[in-house]
Amino acid sequence: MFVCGLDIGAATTKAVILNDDKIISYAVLPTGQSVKRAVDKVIDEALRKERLNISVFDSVFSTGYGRHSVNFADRAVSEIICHARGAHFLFPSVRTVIDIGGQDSKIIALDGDGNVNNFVMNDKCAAGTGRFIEVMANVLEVSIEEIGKLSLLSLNPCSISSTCTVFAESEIVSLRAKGEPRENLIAGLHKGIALRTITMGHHIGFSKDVVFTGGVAKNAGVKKFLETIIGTKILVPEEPQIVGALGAALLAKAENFKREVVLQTGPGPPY
Amino acid sequence: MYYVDLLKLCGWDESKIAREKPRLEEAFRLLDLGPEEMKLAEDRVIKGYDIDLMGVRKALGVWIGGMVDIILSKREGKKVVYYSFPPLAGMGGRISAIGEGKILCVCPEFVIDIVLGAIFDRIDPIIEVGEERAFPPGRALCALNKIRVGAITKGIIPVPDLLLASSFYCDQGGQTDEWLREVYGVPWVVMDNIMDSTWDEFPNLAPKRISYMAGEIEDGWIEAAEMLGRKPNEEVWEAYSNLYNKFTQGVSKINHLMRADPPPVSQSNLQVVRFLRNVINYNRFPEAIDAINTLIPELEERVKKGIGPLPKGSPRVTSFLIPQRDQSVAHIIEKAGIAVPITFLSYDAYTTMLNPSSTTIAEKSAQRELWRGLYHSTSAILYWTKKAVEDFNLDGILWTQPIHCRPMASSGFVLKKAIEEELGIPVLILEVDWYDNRIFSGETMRTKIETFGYLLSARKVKGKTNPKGN
Repeated sequence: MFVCGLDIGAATTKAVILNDDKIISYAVLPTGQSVKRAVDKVIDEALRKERLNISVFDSVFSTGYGRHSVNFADRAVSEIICHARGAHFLFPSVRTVIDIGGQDSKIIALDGDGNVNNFVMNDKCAAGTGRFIEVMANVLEVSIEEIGKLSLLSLNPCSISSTCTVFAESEIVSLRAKGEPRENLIAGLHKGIALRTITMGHHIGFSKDVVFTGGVAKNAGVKKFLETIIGTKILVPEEPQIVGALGAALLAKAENFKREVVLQTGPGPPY
Repeated sequence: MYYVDLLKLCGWDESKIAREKPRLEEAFRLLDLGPEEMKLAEDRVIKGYDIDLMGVRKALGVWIGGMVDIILSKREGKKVVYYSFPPLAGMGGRISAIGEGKILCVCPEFVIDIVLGAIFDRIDPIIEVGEERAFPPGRALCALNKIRVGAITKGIIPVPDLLLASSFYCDQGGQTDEWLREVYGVPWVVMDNIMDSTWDEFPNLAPKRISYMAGEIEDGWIEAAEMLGRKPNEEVWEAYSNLYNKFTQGVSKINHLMRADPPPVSQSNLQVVRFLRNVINYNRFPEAIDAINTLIPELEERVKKGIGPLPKGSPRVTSFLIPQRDQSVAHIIEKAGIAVPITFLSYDAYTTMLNPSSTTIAEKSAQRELWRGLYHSTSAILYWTKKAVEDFNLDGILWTQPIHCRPMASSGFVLKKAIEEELGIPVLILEVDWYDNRIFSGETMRTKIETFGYLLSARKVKGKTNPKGN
């Protein structure tokens, strides 16, 4: 049984193809201006890797901000549910997911079956998300791939007080003008992101195991500060960006789960 | 007549339209509402509301009529009095009643929010003028007060002759009145209240709080009447209270019907009916009672047939108030399969206080007001919310936390902690503005609401009652 999960995020669009319980292919591409174009391209790429045709899919579920724009998807599911499912598939011991994507961040508390018990999500401001890091990388003339590693070199992270992307940028420019080393500035930014994330999730807690997903999970600096502040080791999947799409694919496959909920609550959209 | 279709859609019959024709045309001209705006409004009413229900349509029509009354009030030689939202129940009606048709006493911003916001979608420029003149954006300042300032500045509504300023609930209404006093020299009557209370004091009402509030109500009523050149008399007060209670009994019946599974109508439709009680001007009150009396048998019929906008067994939640500037949030909630049989502001807490134990009419008023909880404390809001969970068989709480409302700044978070710990049901806090939808993202909200709907459905399937039970 071939199923596909699509995660149309603010920054990137991801596709995961499952055959039964095995990930057989995936792709990650920038979302760009057109969701439709991004979806077509990402599916093509994922299919091409395994020389498959789109007709192979028994079911397609979509998630992410653009989930309702995918006309051919059998169902659109919120990314919070999908990240929980995907993280649980990769790490069955997970009880907390920290997901930091292009423009939002979420803390999700899970039960032992990968169901969402509780969650929090930023919604007023993009500070502390992938976009924030991109802006700062640009200001500091560092590539997004290098920024995490550079922060690990810092022995004395700066204190960046502003939570606003624009004001934080001004603060960075000012500190840099005073001669503050770049790695300290980057480490300060990463520490700020970790603190904001933890403050947001404080009331639902960070039960072990904690899994870090989304594009920002590739950033070793943010991960280090999260681990230090929470006081526990954080697990990061090999490809943290595809966890939402993986969850969507798993839900597409789990027909029994879907039917169970629908039957009990009628034809409304229980996801 | 380009406005006839909209008015008929909103429950006006031909004779009423003909009777009010010159007034309608003058008001629509002043508001710059032409054929194009009427078509847009029709579309919004059709898409936004449950137009199979004549009671809901009539309620929308009462709001439009109320708006026309405000626009034309000064031109029609009336003295105009404004009070803030949430108002002291019935005060506006009582003041209007002693005026014998020559005084219009209303909360204009709320009427504008429904008519020019929800129905005509033309409110943002008014809020922006309010921000330019008095209340800058991004500073936890209430959109309703921005609307009042913006609408007066733009000449949409008249500068009032008197302000009923109070801090019963919020300081911002009083501050808006200060601004109007300073800029336009409008006189005011100030009524104070003591908000501080001991946690867990509720449902016992401290006699000193009742007598203090009653004193403020009585003094305010007498002073306002004198300033308007009228005689305050208890018969008018009593007569108005009876009319008010009639409406309240209707609300109570509707609340009873909303306990059905499925609830017969979505909550956002009921808000436009229920708020008529607090806000609409006195001469429209019989129309408001007609709207609610039309709605009740329609809902009874649906309950009898077991139908509603959602299927039986859908998860049920309460909220404080569903954003009403437009119906988008209400529709996202409904599409996520979540029923909202009751909101805090429509809970029939106070309808059970039809016969307060106090002796004077002012004390009875004060006792009722404090009993509602809103003017009492966060612990009182929590008390009634817990009761709603029990009475309406709720599965969770979807609390709309108004980020620009200072009195409500912490209540949602206190409530979340208490409800999750004490009742073991999930609470989702949605940060919104009930009257201004420029400041939150519908898409972010959709993700949260859909996830919450899933969470509640999954818990229902598993028969779970404790979110910590895993």
